[in-house]
Amino acid sequence: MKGRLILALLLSGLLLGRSFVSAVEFSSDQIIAEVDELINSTTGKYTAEITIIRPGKDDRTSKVEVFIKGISKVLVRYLAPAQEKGQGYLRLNDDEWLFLPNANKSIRVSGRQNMQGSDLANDDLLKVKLTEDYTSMLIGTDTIEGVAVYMLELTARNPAVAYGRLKYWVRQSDFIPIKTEYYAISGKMLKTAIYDEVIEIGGKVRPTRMEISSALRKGYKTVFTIIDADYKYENPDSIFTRMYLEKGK
Amino acid sequence: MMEYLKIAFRNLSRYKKRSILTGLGMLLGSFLLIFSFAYGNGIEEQLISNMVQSTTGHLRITAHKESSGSDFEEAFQVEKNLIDNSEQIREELTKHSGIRDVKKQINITGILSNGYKMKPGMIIGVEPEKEVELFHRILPATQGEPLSKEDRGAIYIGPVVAATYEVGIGDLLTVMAETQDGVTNVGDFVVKGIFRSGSPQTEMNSYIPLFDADALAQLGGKVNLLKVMLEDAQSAEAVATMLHQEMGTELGIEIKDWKSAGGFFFGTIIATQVFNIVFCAILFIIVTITVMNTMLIAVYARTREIGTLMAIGTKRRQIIFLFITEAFLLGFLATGLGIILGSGLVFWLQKVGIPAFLESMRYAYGGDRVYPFLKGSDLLATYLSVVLLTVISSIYPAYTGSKLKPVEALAQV
Amino acid sequence: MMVTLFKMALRNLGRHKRRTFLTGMMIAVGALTMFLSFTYSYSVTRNMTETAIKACAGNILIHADFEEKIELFMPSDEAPLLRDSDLIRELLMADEAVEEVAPRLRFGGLVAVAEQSPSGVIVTAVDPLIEPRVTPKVKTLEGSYLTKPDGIILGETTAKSLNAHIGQDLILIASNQDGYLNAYPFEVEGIVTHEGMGMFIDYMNYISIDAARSLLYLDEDEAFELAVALKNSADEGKMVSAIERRLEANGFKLRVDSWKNNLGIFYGIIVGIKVIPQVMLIIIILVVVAGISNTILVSILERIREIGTLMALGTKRREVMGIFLLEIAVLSSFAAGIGLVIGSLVVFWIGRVGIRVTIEALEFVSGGEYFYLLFNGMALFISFMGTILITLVAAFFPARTATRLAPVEALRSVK
Repeated sequence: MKGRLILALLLSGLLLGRSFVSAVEFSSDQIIAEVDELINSTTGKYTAEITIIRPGKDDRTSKVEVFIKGISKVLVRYLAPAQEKGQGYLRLNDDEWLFLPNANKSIRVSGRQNMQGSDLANDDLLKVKLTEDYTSMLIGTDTIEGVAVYMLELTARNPAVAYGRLKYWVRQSDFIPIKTEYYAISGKMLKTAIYDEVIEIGGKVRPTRMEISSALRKGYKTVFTIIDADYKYENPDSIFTRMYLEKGK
Repeated sequence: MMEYLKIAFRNLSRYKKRSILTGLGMLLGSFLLIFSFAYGNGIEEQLISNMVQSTTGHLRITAHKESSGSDFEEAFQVEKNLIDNSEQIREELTKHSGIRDVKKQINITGILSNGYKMKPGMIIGVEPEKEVELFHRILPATQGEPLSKEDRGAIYIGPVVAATYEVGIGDLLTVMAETQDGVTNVGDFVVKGIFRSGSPQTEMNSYIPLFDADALAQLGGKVNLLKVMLEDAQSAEAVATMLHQEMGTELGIEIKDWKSAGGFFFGTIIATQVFNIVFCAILFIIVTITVMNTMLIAVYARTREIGTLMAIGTKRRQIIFLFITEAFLLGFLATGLGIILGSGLVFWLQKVGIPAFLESMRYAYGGDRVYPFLKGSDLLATYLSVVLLTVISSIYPAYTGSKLKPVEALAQV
Repeated sequence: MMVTLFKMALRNLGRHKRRTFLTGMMIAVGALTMFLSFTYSYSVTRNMTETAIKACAGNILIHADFEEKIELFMPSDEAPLLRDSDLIRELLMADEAVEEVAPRLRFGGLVAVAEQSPSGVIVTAVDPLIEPRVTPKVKTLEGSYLTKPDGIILGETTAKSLNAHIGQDLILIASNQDGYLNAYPFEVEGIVTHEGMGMFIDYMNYISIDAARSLLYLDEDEAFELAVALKNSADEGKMVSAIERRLEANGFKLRVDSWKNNLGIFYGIIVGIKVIPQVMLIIIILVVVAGISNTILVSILERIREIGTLMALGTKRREVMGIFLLEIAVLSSFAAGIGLVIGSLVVFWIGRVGIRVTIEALEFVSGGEYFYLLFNGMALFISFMGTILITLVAAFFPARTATRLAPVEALRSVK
């Protein structure tokens, strides 16, 4: 009896092809967890450049420093250019705050607002923890430019999450994502993100460049590039306070 | 009595020219009055109908909230609070005999985009099958067609929106709205029709099916506005009070009759009514003066005649009465004719409509044409007042004329 | 000869006092009504126009050269700014017809009060010393008007919805055209209303243009628009061209518009409203014509015997008509004159006292809480000449017909 079962499994495995066998190896949850681990860190700090591209206008590049502690403490600090130096965002538990130095005070903001006019939403930097916010489903596999990928569909767990649906294309070999599509609840696509320049940085091998293209406005793009990172760095709790945010450094 | 009438009639026909001229004043006067009343009625009716159909209904039901105080804001409020059991409320309401229909509406302040340009806009979700008046008379399509019941993903826009986003029939407009949880939801809509509106308050709106509006704002079947249409528009206040007592507080809804709900726009309607009244009053005064004048001249001119009558022994009372009868007869006929002609014109125009000659008149009319109509009270008021005027204006000269000694009267030229 | 006829006309009029009086009264009322309707229509139009100009736009607006349609008080986020606003201002102030030129910026931003989430606001940045001279109908209800560099003036509507009060601190956040976000703390210094059109635009808020330039990282003389106030609003038409030419001559290529093109749909509302009394006026004129004609007809009819007698005595037709028309002319001049004197008194009285307006909607038509009638010399002149003309025309044809009758017939008709 047992023998026949094993035989049946083997046979079905052979018949249905290698890709499917690989799929059975990992559940969508596991894949997404890996993706989270790679791109959405819960510790450390990193510096990044955000370049905003708009048709008919010059590109605008800012430099930020991001500090993370756990899934509910994130501090973003703008280092350049001069107009933005000292600005910052703080996520503390469920609240998000924006500090503009000339204001002397931080103000509450919504995670869905665009960060500094870019195509990134505040939540994209401050809040993404895929496994927390989305349920996932493996919808298939594909090959993109010779690379085998998983296709996953993520659905928001509750209506308060920024995106109704996400579609991820994740490399089967190392769970590095190469593309994401962001959808509104209605199913209309809001933007797409393409990840590349996978290098070793701060102790991880991960994509360091993310190019986001708006699907709502032609020609609107934002490029997010990580310059350096230290994911093992331990941040003190004290920097995740409004007071620190308002210091402007 | 009959004698007087006969004599009066004979007198009138004997001096045709004089009678006609005198009567002409009354005829024209009553004709114009009738027409003006009808014109004013037509404009008022259309403006009210516009407001009632597009914005408030005869009764406007919204979720209970604090009032802001400004009429203008009152009219423009986009309700953040939702009505929970709109379907249930609708069922309850249609049971009442005075209520003709209940229409659901969802008002969304969102952002429209054509992929390049993004601007805020007012998007209104309606039940197309219930908005026949709105889609065919107030906002008729100049291109394409209005929404129909089965439509999904279609949008009906005004000319300003069409021009701003440079879209035509079949093009896509993207609508962004915030859901109850603050998440941005986005939907694409195909432009099904472009309407033409004479009302600035509706020109900037874009209409989508209720179903789609619900999905966009994720309202879960709730709406923010119910428009109640009554059999008798005048009963609005009474019905509102009654309903409020019955259902208002329980269901947490606010029921307002269209006059209080109309806020600023109702104010503009009142302004129009005021203009109308002032105008008709001025008209009336002129008609009065004209009629009085002609009667006075006409009767004074017959002082000799009065003298003759007195000389042959007719009593003063009889003379005065004779003149009154003449005046009455003339007034009766002339005014009657004037009213008939006026009504005839009105009936014809009621079908055809008076077009707006200038673009700007469309705003004053609230549409491309105005359809005048008469109320019974208009006819009665005009008739009574002009005839009365005629009669009154004949008394004084007849009286003074008859007071003269016959010799003096006869001497008058 | 004329003098004789004149004397005869007067004597005739005096002889039939009652008839003269009645006819005269009709003419007087006609002139009066025409004048008042004219004045009313004119007042309504002027009030709305003045309100739009003095509470909001200014007579002429100058922007950088771009295509997009400008809506009433809506920021055009993508519209280019103009430079050298100070220079342009000096250039324009040199023209005698120009009263003042006010630079402005307009943008949408967020305002954060206390710990509340930010709310959207629209802000116009102005020069505190110049702006009140261009928009004197912006009335300060509470507090003061931009005496402090970090002061912000809230429109009444905004103040209510934010529940803000004088002295309160708030933070204004805005992003400039390049997308850079900036914020500054401001203090609520005053609350204003736009007299006569408050219901439409009391959501507008004001800060000083210097503060705005800091906030938006702009140069010292960058502005979104320059609002030109003319000494005399009637000069508008020719001033638009004059300004265009002057700017071009100095190398500026800018967009110069009347305020009418800057109010968007709002202008349509104004036109729609002013049309109503104009139509009224036309109808009233028609009615006056009818009324006067009727009266004249009747009175001429009454005097057929007289006409017959004159002709029987040998007076030529032309002379008879001349007498009649002269009579009418004299009578109508006096009557119209009297009617217009009364009319003018009414206008002056209402023009001083005003009629209280209780409905918010009507405030726009009256330009504020009180409705004033404005005296218009043209209206007076037209009413006067018009009435006389109407009367003469109304008398001409029946007089001619009457004189055509053979004297015998005329004498025979016993009225």
